Amino acid sequence: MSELHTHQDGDRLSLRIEGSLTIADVTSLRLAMLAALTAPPQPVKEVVLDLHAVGEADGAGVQLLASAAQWLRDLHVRPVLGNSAPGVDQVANALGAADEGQCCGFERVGDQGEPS
Amino acid sequence: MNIDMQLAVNTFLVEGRELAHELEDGLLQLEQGHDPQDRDLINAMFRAAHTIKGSAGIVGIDSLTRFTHDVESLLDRVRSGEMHLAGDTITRLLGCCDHINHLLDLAERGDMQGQGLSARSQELLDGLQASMGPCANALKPVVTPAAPAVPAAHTGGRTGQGFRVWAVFGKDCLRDGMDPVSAICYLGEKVALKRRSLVCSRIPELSRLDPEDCWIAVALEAETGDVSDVRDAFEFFREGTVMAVARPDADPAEVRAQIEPLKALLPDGPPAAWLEAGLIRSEDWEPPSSSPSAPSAQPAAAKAPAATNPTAPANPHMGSGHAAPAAARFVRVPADRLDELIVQVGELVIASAGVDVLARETRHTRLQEAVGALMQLIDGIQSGALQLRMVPIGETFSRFQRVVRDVSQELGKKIQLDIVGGDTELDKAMVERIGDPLMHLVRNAMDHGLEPPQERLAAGKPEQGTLRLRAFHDSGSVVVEVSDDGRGLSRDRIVAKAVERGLIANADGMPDQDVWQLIFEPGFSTAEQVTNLSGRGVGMDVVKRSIESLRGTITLNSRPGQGTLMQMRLPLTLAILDGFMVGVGSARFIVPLDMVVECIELPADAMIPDQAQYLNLRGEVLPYICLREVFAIEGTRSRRPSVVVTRCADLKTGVLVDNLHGEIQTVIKPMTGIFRHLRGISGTSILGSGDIALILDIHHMVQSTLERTARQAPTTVSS
Repeated sequence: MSELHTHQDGDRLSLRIEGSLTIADVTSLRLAMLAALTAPPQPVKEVVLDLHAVGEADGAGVQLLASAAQWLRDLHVRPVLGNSAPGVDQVANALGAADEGQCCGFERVGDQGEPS
Repeated sequence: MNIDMQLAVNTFLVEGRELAHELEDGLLQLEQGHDPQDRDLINAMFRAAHTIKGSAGIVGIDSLTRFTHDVESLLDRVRSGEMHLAGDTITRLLGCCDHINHLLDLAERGDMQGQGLSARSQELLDGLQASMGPCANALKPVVTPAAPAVPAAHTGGRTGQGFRVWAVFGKDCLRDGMDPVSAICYLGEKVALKRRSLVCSRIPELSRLDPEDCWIAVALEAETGDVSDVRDAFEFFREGTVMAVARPDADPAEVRAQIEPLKALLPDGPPAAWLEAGLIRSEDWEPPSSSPSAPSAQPAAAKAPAATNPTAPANPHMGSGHAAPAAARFVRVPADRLDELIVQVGELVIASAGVDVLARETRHTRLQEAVGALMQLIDGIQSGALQLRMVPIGETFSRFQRVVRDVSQELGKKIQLDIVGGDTELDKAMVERIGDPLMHLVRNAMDHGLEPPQERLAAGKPEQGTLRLRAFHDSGSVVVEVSDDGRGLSRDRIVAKAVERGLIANADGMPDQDVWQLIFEPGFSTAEQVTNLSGRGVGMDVVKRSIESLRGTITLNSRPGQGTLMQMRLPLTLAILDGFMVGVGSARFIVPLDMVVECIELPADAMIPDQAQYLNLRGEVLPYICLREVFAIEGTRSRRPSVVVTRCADLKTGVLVDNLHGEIQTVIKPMTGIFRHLRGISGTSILGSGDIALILDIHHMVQSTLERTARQAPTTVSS
């Protein structure tokens, strides 16, 4: 079972996914993401996604990330990828949903290191 | 192993055997002269091997993944036209099918590595290697669980001009376990993919997304490979998936013709992601507005010959403008759940019959109407539940193709198996239990019935003998026949053996029909040479007992020089019976409704004075059974008895009873313990009142009566 951890620092909301990002996880992760993104304690300008702890991923997982990124942009929130994961990169590359600058619509800002 | 994985393994064990059977069936078809160029058949066989390999890898049966990899490789070469299947190669592949089943058996017992069978695996793989000849280097051990992807550009083995693919995947793909990512990765192992792009804008935003729906639309460009690679990679994507393929340098009109079906799924025009990635140009989507006279896309495509058109659809659903037709959808349910359901429905029927009795006693009209409606619904549920367990017998029959092939080779005989009525349905429990008796009859027919080619030719028969398996419904029963056009039974040999064994003193005046029945006696055999197939004399009596334990009968007919017919008559189901209830005194009996021809009050002049066992019914003379006498029920016969006329195997018989109670649907409780060998009673039923009714086995009762009458007849004459 995957988990979503959130942490807000000013107008930056960090989302950290632990576990896998597959069709078995996407329904619960979507609900958790919606809950985190629709009711943050303070207004958010940037969402930083941390996938460092994600192992397995599939097409449904990449689709969920792309959907989330699009929604954030519609809300004028900048989607940022803090840490990626090889599993996610591999699937996103296979689908042509990633390049040097972004992955699934989340802007790459370089490795943020091991999250605390 | 966790519970989910164990479930997956169990499901695969069933699926794997079905796929192995599918593969075997294809090989047998080819061996029997089916067109070796039939792409559908070859592709189906390849898919079977491919799916076994893939699924075995997923559930961790490494032995099977390794072994089937080579079978798949060989079939891939057949598919690509590099080799043809014939002779020894088919035999070797049939051996591989057997081995796949053995590996599945081991996996079922928990051995995922196939320990103990590795030598046999290697032996079979060496055989395949020999079949593939000197360029068999394609057969290399597979690394499990998944071989690392090697870019095709580096393998140096792929040619082809490359292609562009545009795909919009079906909404249920992901939910059905078909992930486009897997297919793309597979394609990437075979060809050099240069560019790819996902249409993110097509995916609904998070608040509106059903995350299990598939919204993936992707375009790919490959520098090597061709349309067949695309077809291979995406062949399992059927329902709802629409794809188009074109050569990289295809002109815009050709691309437009191919891409047309995708436009309905991408209504906002060419996706920006594809335009930006250079995977499509504006003119590939719509003709330039400055050239209104440009030919429309469709005629351009029509002009290109299908065989050479590089943009020809790679799949039936590619570029056709339509999604593939919906395949029949099935849900796999464990048999024990169905059995449990049928038992529960049986109890429901019994309970509802009790409610019905009580409702009738109350004389409360509305209650009776409500119960009547309830009974109708339960009737529907019961029929539906039973229907769930009905399966066509054809699958069981078709398994004999392989048996006939192997045994005829072993015996040096030429035998053709003819299957008739494979779509006849009967209870799955019944199908499973007739497999062994059927096998014995088939082997017997091949071993003893059908002659060697020289003998057949000498007798003026075709060199090839015919063994026929036939099934059909008759009077609420299923009849399964095994017949052959062989030498038939030898009356003299059977009689001699029976006399030798002390079964009869002599056969003077004994009708052929009775002589044939002697072969069902325990230990009877006339085979002069005991083979490993049959002829040990331990079979036919066991076959008969097996059939009788299923409430069935077996009869035999034979004509010297023309052949033998074994006929098994079986009930449709072992669980529930539509019956007609009759009464004698306070006892209740149920006659299977399918056997009931009519029920009438016995006419006063129907009894034939000088023929105690026969009735004259409107001029028709019928044997009859008096239940009061058969079951020694005390009391006197009703002053106005009734007769239930039954039909069993074309023989009409009257059953004399005191009262007629009408139709009843009943759950059969089989006879157990000391009662199981009782002839004339096939089971019992608990009535709504709580009383027990005996279910009559009319066939046995008629047979016993006829035998008794026949025994009494000479006595009468001699006295």
